[in-house]
Amino acid sequence: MVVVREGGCVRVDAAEDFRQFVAARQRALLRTGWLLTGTWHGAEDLVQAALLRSWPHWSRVGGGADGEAYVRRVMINQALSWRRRRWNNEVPTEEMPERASPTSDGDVALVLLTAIRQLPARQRAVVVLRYFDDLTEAQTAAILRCSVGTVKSQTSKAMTSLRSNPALDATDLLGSTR
Amino acid sequence: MSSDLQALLDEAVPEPPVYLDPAQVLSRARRRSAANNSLAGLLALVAVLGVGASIVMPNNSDEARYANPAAGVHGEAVTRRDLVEESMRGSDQPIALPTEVPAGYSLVFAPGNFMPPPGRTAIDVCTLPLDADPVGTCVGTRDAERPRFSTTTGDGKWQVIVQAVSAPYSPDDLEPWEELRYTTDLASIRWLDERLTKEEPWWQDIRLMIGIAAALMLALMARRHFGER
Repeated sequence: MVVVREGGCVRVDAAEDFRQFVAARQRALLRTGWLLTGTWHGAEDLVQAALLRSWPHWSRVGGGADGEAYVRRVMINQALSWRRRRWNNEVPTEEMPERASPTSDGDVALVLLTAIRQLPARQRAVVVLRYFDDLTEAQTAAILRCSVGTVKSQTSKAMTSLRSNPALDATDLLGSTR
Repeated sequence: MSSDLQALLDEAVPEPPVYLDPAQVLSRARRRSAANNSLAGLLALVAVLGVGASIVMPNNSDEARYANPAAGVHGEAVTRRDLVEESMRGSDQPIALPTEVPAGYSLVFAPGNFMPPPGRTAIDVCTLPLDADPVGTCVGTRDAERPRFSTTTGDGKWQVIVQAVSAPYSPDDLEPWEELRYTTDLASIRWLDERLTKEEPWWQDIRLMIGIAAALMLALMARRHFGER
């Protein structure tokens, strides 16, 4: 929160606060957006859309953790909305999905990212928020506007789905299913 | 497990190749916000005007039908109250009532606060032609053969039975499809003269739709205004 002193008055400079927030947090937001949308184009659109929609409320939510949580909530809502509209689901690519068994961490990461992108939108959001943005279940529930129990169940379903991928199940990454 | 997954994801997600210029983002956000505010202002104006219009539009039932209580169906300056009071006095004089109603018109006679719904016509006995109904004297006929329209209860109160028929009215085709009963005294009955009315004006229904649309618009704007809470 940027506080400006003018004479005897103290006011919050929302614009400067917003600018600083964008500069400081855009990397993290873009990476989250990339996980949610699957492309950098999509991530850029998503983050920009979320920031534009957040600005009118910035003086209320402020910067810091509250502001970031607010922007993330808008991002998730926007991503789910786009997903529902299905106008950006198909991305032309020259590369076929990697299907070979992973032999290195890089391969596992690739398989993991592919598997995450194939999750239903809400489960994907839970995985991204919980395991990439490192939010607690309560914070995730607040952003998704659902109960902690729902977050737990969505997480469980997502993990089960990820474990169904033999390449991921072979690793100890997702914990044991047995 | 969680930390392993987190570390792997952190490693797997590449660095963004794009950079958002904070000043540009802020500038775009401000422009968009200003445009939204203008639009919101316009919508609010439309919504307020819609709600206002739906409130202040004259009610056809009240204003148009009963604006001239002294005018009879055929221009007779005889009020229903006169007719009823005359009957109450036991007059043997037949009451001249209209026997036909032009097609497309309906007779409206609604005592008390009973308001026939749009498209319906409330008719009491007094609107019946004498030769169409044996209880055509309309009041004081307690044990008439067909006491379906109006009778006294003997205690000074009136039991008024209002039957609604669909317009256009025809003495040969009087099939009541709705009946409302209530008891009241003569003074409290707002006797309203029958008068010819045509079909309901179009804005009777439009008014309701405008109100609903305006309310929805206001709700939508409120949601946008308060944002993603």
